[in-house]
Amino acid sequence: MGPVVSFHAETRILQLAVASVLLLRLALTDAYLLYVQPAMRPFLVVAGLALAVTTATYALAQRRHPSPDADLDHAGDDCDPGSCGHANSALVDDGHLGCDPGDHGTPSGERHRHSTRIGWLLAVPLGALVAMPMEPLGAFAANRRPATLPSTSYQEELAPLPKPSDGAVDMTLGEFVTYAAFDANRQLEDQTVRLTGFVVTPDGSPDDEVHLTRFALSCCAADAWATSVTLHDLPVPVPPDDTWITVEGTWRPDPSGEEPDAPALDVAAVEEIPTPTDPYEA
Amino acid sequence: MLVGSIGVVLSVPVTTWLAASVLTTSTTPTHSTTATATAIRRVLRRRLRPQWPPPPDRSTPATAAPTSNPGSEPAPTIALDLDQLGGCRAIAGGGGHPWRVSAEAGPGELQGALSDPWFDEEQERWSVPPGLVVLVLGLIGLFPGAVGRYLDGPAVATWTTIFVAVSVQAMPFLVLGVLVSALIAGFLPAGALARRLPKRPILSVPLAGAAGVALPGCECASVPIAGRLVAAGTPSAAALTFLLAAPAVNPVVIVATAVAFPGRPEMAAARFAASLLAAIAVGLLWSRVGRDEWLARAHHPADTEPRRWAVFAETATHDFVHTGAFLVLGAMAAATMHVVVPPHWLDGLASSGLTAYGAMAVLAVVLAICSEADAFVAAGLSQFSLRARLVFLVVGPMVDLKLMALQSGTFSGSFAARFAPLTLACAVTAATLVGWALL
Repeated sequence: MGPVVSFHAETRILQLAVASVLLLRLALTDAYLLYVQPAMRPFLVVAGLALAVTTATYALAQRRHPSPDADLDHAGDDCDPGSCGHANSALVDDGHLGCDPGDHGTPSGERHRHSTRIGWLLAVPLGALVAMPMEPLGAFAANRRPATLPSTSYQEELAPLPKPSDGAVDMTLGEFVTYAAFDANRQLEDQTVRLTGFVVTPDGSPDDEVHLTRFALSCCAADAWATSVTLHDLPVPVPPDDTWITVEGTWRPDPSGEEPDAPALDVAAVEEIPTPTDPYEA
Repeated sequence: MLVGSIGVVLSVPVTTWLAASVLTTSTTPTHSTTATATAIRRVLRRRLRPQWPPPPDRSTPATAAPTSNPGSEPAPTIALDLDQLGGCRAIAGGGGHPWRVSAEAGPGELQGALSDPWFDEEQERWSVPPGLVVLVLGLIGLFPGAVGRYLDGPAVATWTTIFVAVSVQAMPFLVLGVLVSALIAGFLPAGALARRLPKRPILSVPLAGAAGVALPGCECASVPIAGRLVAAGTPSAAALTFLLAAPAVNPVVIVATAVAFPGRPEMAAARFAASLLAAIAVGLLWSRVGRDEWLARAHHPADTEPRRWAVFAETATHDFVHTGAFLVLGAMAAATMHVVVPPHWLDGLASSGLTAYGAMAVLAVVLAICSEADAFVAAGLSQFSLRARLVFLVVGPMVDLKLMALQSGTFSGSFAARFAPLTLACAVTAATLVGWALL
């Protein structure tokens, strides 16, 4: 009596289970925030559940009408040809190829030769997540994609700054850079702001130049773009790259009138913080 | 750490393997060990090229019967369930004609009938072509510092983040596409769509392009759906037009483009027009020069097949495993490109006109971003002109590393090798023309 479900089907069920685990694990914890937009959570959960349900349906269908094992899948393994032949001889009626249109559990006429093995690639993302510490994009990625200012076509009349809390206005780096570059009312002048990001020492710039950087996503981490601010007059020694900090300071306008890609900030206070759950800006 | 390093080191030969297999895979087998295998091979060839005359009958005892006359009505499709070739079974589909293929194959003898290009049946071990080894060693030799430089911590961490991000972002759309394609396989009668579409490509192709409006989502969803449409009997030109148009002309993408370029609604209109134009152009050209044997078609179940939900589950799981594996390969390649390509290459190319268009096309292929989001990425590439960015937006959903991997898995490597350059050429041309007219 052979296995209840064929080896071929078992392998496929395992591979799909791995894929559902990947999706559900990321979506149900907060880990998915490191890779994709926060809005993706329901899509990931639904996709993981749909996969799990489809796999269960497949497993049930296989139990009821198991598709026989493929001899081809064992070619190259250490398989005793005698036993393989014996297992399959029941399917051969006196050496002729029979033709049975309807009594098949799995109507599939494609090349199945390497489809079971190649499916194990689905396990690679989960393996990577398990084996490596999950980290957001950091200084290495920021150095490869230098920050650029948002294009002027975005900008209309800029809204008034929000009210300060605890003596400083909380802003995202994107907002700060936009106001520094495009605000005709210059609301940032002499205004203490509070910004959060990670430290980057840019490659190829003078040693004492320090940036505060944060990424923003539109689709996933593959297209993240960085926004940076140059920090001046730090009251503490420069923290190592990839340290997450919150700084309070005031904008130092560029004397030429044209803001560089990373506007300058005179820092009054620095506070180290743990890596946030959602490292990307809205 | 170790796994990450292995991942980075493996991704270079994997990417090379993918490229090599795209260029060398064919649907006809290369080895045969018995006359029976020759006969089976001939039957397979007949299935894949029904219009061509069968090759001369060279075999001895076992023959496949009956031979078909070229020019008569197309031979009914035979589907060989290769799960059971060890036991020699064949089932017929699409019309119920029983084929009797008499052969004396014992179990195990038919292993030669289909071959993996890298697997040597006679010696039963994997053989890697020496050319591939030379290529990989040559690359490592030319850039000796490259491998070492990219094995340190931050590079590997970044690679892993991007790789997981691309895979995870695409998977929900892949699930959607696979479920829809499985519905097609399970519930759409064979040829139903083909009967409803106009016969002449000049009419059916634009209709298929317009139908792309109905499928919102990433390009990952459209590949399995197009594969199943082809299997269900839809003319391949119409299905491929749908494959190209759906990711680019659906409402979600057009709205996203309008939002990403505020004050410039002509950008969204130009994207819609250029993408539709490119998809229709590819479809019409394919109906002229494309050959159906490049599309290794999946089997569509016969109308008499009961247990629709079992078929649905089987198709959905098979398609997801197969397509998802290629998605992971594409994600690995895209992550490698992100980490390895120096950014300053872009800045030099942004200035002059023609190279800017070329740079945008190359970037779109390499970055493999989903079509909903590439509008925002394009908006951020402010150093390029609007027309160059239109090229980026039109090329991206049609040709990229992820898509080429998916297409080579769903259809065949030789298909992807021909389809990608054709699509790239049509997309760049359409985007340039529409950009010149509208922007």
